[in-house]
Amino acid sequence: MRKILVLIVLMVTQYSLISQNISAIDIIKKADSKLRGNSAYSEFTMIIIRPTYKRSISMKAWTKGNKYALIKILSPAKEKGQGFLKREKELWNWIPSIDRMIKMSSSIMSQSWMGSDLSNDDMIRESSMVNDYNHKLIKHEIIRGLNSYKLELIPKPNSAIVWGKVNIWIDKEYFTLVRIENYDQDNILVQTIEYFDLKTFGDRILPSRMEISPSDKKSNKTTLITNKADFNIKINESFFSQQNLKNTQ
Amino acid sequence: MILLLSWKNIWRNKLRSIIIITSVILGLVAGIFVVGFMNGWVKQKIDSVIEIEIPHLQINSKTFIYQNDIENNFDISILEKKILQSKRVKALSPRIIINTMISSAHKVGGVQVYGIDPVKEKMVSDIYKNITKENGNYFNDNKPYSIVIGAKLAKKYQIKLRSKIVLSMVSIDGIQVSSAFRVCGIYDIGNPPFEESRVFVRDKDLREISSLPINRVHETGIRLIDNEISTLEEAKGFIIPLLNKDNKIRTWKEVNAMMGIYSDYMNIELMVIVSIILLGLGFGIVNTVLMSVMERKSELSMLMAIGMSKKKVLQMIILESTILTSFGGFIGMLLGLIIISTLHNTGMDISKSMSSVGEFGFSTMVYPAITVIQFSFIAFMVILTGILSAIYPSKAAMSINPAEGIRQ
Amino acid sequence: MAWRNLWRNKKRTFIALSSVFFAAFLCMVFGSFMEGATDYMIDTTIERQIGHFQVMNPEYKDDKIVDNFLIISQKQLNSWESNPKISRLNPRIETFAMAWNGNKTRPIGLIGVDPRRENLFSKLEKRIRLGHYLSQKDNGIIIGKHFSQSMNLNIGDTLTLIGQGYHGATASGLFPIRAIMNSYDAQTDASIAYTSISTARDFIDLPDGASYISVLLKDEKNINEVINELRQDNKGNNYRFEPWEELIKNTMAGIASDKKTFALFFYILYIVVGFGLFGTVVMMTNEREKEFSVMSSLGMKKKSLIIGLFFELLIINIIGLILSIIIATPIITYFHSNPVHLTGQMARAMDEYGIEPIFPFALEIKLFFNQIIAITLMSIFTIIYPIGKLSRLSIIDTLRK
Repeated sequence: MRKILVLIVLMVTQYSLISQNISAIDIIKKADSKLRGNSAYSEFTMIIIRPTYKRSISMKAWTKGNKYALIKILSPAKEKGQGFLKREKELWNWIPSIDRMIKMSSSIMSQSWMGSDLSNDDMIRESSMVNDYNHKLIKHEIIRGLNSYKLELIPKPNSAIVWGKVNIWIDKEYFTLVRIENYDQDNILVQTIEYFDLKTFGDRILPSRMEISPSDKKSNKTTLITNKADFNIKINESFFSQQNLKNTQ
Repeated sequence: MILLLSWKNIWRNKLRSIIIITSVILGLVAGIFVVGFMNGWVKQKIDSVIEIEIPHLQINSKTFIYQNDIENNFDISILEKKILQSKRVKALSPRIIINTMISSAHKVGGVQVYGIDPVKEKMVSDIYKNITKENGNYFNDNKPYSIVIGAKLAKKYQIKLRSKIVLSMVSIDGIQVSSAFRVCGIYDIGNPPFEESRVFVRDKDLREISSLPINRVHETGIRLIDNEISTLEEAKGFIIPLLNKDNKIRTWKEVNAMMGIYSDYMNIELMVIVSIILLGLGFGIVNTVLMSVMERKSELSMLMAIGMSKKKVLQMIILESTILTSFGGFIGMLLGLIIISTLHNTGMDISKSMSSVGEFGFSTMVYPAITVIQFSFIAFMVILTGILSAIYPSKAAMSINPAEGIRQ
Repeated sequence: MAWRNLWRNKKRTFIALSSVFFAAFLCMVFGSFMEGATDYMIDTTIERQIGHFQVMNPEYKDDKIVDNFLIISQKQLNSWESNPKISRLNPRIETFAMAWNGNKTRPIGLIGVDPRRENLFSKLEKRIRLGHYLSQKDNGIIIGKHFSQSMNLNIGDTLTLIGQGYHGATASGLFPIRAIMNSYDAQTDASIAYTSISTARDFIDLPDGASYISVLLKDEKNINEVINELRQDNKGNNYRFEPWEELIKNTMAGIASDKKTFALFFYILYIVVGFGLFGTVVMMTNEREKEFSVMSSLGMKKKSLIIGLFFELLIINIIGLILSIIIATPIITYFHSNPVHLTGQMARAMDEYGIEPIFPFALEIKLFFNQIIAITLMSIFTIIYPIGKLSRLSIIDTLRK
């Protein structure tokens, strides 16, 4: 019975019709599936805002599932040519200015990625919105003029997640993320992530701009703008090699 | 006869007797107190480090000392039984040590996680005593995936009791693994760097995540029956032949050189302090007795005039000193003992003399204590000083010319 | 008359004198010793590591990240150095980096120093066991013995470092190993490496400046004065001046507070020594009981006797003190300049730490002063007895004895 319901839901949403009987987990699964694909190529710009400076980094990235990723920095000039390679459990950093391919250890994972509000770990996020949380649909809410579902996600007891609670708003029409609020275990808001500017990328519609704001440092912010994204591209595991990391422009 | 005379003399000049007795008592109590205090104080500083942070002896694989990576482990199974055969070993705790990332909702950072058997670890380290009731306990419930962290870490990462944190590490197979733990206890030892870097979990849980085979550990902490240097050396000597060539045993001084230096430095200081105090005491007694002999010139001269030999006069004076000193010594020892045991029970609060104590949560209590050897030594020295210091003045008495003396 | 009395009974005077002398002497030596020993560790730390105060960016104290480093020009530093009250200053850059040897990555604390200035401060060169010291703008690195072993690096090999630079830039660099230095214990040594400050600046992309600047004064008393001066001269810039008491808190607080605890032992010594004085004075008074009665019966006013006695004791006190100063000073000075050298394992360990294994005696007028005051107070106290006794003197009773 449940299966049929899910099928109907899926069929209905394919035609962008809003269903009143959708469950929380379905919403999450749908949103999640938009973000994961078998493989993708994207170009994006990261803008880091700090009290004393502002930095802009542009890069391109190839990913295949969760296990393979290759990122190349395009600008600024000082960082140009730098690259990151993820192959299953290994992470490598290519620095052309010193001609070194460095294996990154787990202690690097916690550090911020390129000085932003994202950690290295965030960039290759392993945890799953679907599997690691219990989901509850709270209400329907209009955020920035968008009709959204507000869901409350509580991490499962054994999941490797430190948040106490995550509030997530998902667009009713496109099932894209609108806002995420991460709370600690005392219910204090730690981090807010907002999604803007829906655009068509290949076969799907996604927000092209993401802003991450830590709650304790009001003047800090990281913005990620996706300039281009292609999904389900043809790419082999062999593409993700140190050689390619060095060579790719 | 001389004894009777001495006794009478003592009673006759009460003031003099009281002064000498009091000097001896003072010196004895001062000496006992100083040594007792130093012992308690050193204990608070250094011994507490041994009992909590660094065990008396520590065994690691040689490679682990330079590179504390997970693969530098060794087998403890047979070694454990053999080590426990030594009479000087009180307890032993095998430890898994892995460099890990710890995350809370607010912060991520590196720590060393110690996978231990709570029962064994409690016998080697007293850190569990530093968890107050409102800060949980040291694995009392034996709940799986519990973790004990330091107060400074809790503060920095904004973690509370029963908070959930995530540990991420590389397993023995080279795979990145993460697991959630719940805080069951927060310890406070007044040492922020230590608290920030060391967390404890059950060895079973750590083995499960890291896939480290059973009986393989990175360190063995060994607690001995006491803190004496001789015990340390003997125990070390006993264990060395049991180790294979890949392992190394180190004393706490070798593990933390600074502490070792500090401890030795303090011992020397103590010796100098006690010597100076004894010197001061000795001289005070000498002078007092000297003065008293001078004061008794006429009396002594008369004794000699009526036929008492100089030798006998000397004996009399020495006997007097001996009686007085012994009497003072006895009272002094008793008083000293009472003071030390009382202070030992109540402890001395030295917070008034320390500046920024609050910030460290340093225990401000010192519990003076004195060993039988130290006590006997001091008592012996003081009494000896008392008796000996009568010799010079007595010699002075010998040179008294009876005629002159009477004339005065 | 008091003087004559003293001369009359030389032996007695001598005993009383020596009593005061010895008491004062002991106290002075004790005081010097205590002060010297307890201050040694602190003074060494001030002189060799942290200076009397440090200059930094206000935010640096709480968050030691690269973005909170101090921007200051070499010219500025040089002008500070020309201040007559400043003995020397030492700028440093301290930052975290990941070290890569082609095989393994390890975290490391990189310290960029001005080689010449650092040597004046901490005698860094002395700690080198292999290789040679950094040249002024050296791009090489000095690593610890344990680190070199764990990373399998030798003189001439190259160490790769990556880290976080100023304003988020990626810091990366190649560092040839110049020297290997002594270790303390495996934990502390393994994680520190030294390079020249100019290279460190390039590494993190810092235009000019340092994490902090340690300032050592010629005279500790001028701390506040110099800080105010610098503050005035640099009103435009927002500098934070952190005194050594604050800096020492984390590492040496335990030892700094020991000093106060040691005061306890002083009081004990005073009691023991004071009592010795008291005993001597009491005996002396009693010995002269007869003498006093005779004088009194001969017509001398009690008041004059008392004053006379007072003067006697005063003279004894002064002479005793002077004597003790005369004898104590050369002894203490000798041990101050030629401190007792410790030997054995402890000495070697201290040496490796860069701490000279000595037992220094402090030479300070203030210390002598304290003892003099203490002894004088004690003497005055003890005088009460004889004076009290004198006033209650009953001639007849005494004569009868």
